[in-house]
Amino acid sequence: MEDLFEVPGTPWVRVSPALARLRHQMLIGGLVLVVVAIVVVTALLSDGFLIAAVGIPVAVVAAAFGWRLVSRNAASWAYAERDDDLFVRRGVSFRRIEVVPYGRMQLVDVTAGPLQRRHGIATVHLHTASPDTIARIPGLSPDEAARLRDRLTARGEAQAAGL
Amino acid sequence: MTDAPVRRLHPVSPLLRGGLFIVAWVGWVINDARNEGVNGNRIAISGGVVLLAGLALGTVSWWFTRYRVDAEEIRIESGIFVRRSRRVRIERLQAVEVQQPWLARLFGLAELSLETAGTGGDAEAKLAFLPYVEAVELRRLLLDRSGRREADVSDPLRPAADDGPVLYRALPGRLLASLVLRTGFVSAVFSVALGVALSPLIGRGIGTAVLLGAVITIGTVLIRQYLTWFGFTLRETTQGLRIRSGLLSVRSQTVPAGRVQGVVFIEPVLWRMLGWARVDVTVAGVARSGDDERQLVSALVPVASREEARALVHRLLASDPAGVPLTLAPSRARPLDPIGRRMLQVGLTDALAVTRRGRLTTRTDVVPRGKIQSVHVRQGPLQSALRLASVHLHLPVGPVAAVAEHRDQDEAWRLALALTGRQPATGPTPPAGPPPTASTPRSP
Repeated sequence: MEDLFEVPGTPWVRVSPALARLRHQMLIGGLVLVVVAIVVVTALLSDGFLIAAVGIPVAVVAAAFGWRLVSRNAASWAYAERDDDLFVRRGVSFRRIEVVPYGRMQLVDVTAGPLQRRHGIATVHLHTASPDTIARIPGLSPDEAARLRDRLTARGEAQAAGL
Repeated sequence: MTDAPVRRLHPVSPLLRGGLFIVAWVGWVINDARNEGVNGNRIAISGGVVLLAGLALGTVSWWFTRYRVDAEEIRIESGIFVRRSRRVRIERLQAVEVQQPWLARLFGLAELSLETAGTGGDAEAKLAFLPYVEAVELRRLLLDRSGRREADVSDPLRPAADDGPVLYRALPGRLLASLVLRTGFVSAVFSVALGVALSPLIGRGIGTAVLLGAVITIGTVLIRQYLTWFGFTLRETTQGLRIRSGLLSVRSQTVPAGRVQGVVFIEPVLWRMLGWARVDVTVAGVARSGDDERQLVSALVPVASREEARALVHRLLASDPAGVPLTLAPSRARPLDPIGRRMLQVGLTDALAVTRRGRLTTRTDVVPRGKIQSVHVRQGPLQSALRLASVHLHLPVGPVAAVAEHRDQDEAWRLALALTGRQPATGPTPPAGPPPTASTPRSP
């Protein structure tokens, strides 16, 4: 396979399936909200039946599509720690791979919102002196995230380069 | 040093800052004259009232504004109703600049702006106005205490003894011509002309009014830009290149060679015919502000012949950007960028990475390889079908944005690894990849 993003010999680590579960849950939540809104509108309008008859199936089909997209996107996230730099890969149709030398790291964040915490995942975010660097790895278990952060910080200090 | 004296700004400051009141008053007078007709008494009385109110408010505000500089920090207190107290740690200062708006210049005053590393308006504190000599003295003191030895502590607005020869001076005629020939300006004039041609259709009165408005706007922009860039000179100093520019308000800035992250040559289509180029520069730690000001902060050369510009960049980066062999994007990229494909180029040497793009306004981004923070490779579905990919180079905030668009995907990947490698990457390069020292992109 001649795929640009499957560099042979790269120790890719995929993110936790909990990321897909979290995003699926948000998708279902969105679907429920839309369906409730349609039902309310239907109840308020005297001849709103058509809206429900068309709107609900459309919303369900869209959500089913979304389900598939979310699965594929969540599965596409991966990172690889190499000797001198970190790779972060994401995207299915529009793919992007970030290459960040450890020496350029300014700081590493670990964040976890309330929903993320419930699914037992956290996000590691690397910053360089450039705002264009988007090296974000969502869907790591909190322990793994903390370990990754410590490893990255240690390597960043060992290889630090100035501005 | 802890009991450093609390000081006030110069007593004339409220007068200079009252310009806003005058503008508001003129607006009121015009409106009033339209409704009531021109009435000398009303104008005189209202003018007096506004003047007095402005002066009173300005004076009170001046009275409540105080600053103190001690060993570690500078403290500025201001505000009449809402008291505001800012403390800026001197060691955190990124830059201290002296500026002279033209009115202040008449009184021999200047404003001192203190820039810290944050973003947005809060990153900057201003002391307006101080006597010019005092502002320069305070700047020297602050830079001394902030430990920025590389900083330029000489008098910023007047040529100093250690100034080297003038490397570049904007010729007034060429400057004016260059502003007129900018793509934006030309298209504005063109749309006005179109408006004139169409005016019989939309009615004479409306046509004339719109035309007048457009002409005034275009003229104002042109004049303002001309005044800002007038007398732009570049000198070599021990701290780097020093820029001075402006006719009415003079601005000075030093570009320390070591903090340059990259430069970009910008050549609008009409300039290209004349062989002219503008050069902007990204400098680490230069805060961004308003649009015009930002352009000034980032400009190295407003307009020069291509050779002049190249020689200056060569001097600044210690490497000749024209010595970088460029290769075109492969011809199969044509469907993705039919017009601009012939401009999409990239090249690498040991010292520099160069990318070029843009048909109408061509930009050539030049980045010292040691300054690249990180890169990303991007591939959309169409690119994927054509086996193409783009490489984006990441730099600190500034005008430089180097992108190698639509390269062969293997080449793109080798490029990405070569650009981020400390020693050019020998890791998992794609199967057929040549050693990265030879990573100058292949010809299409």
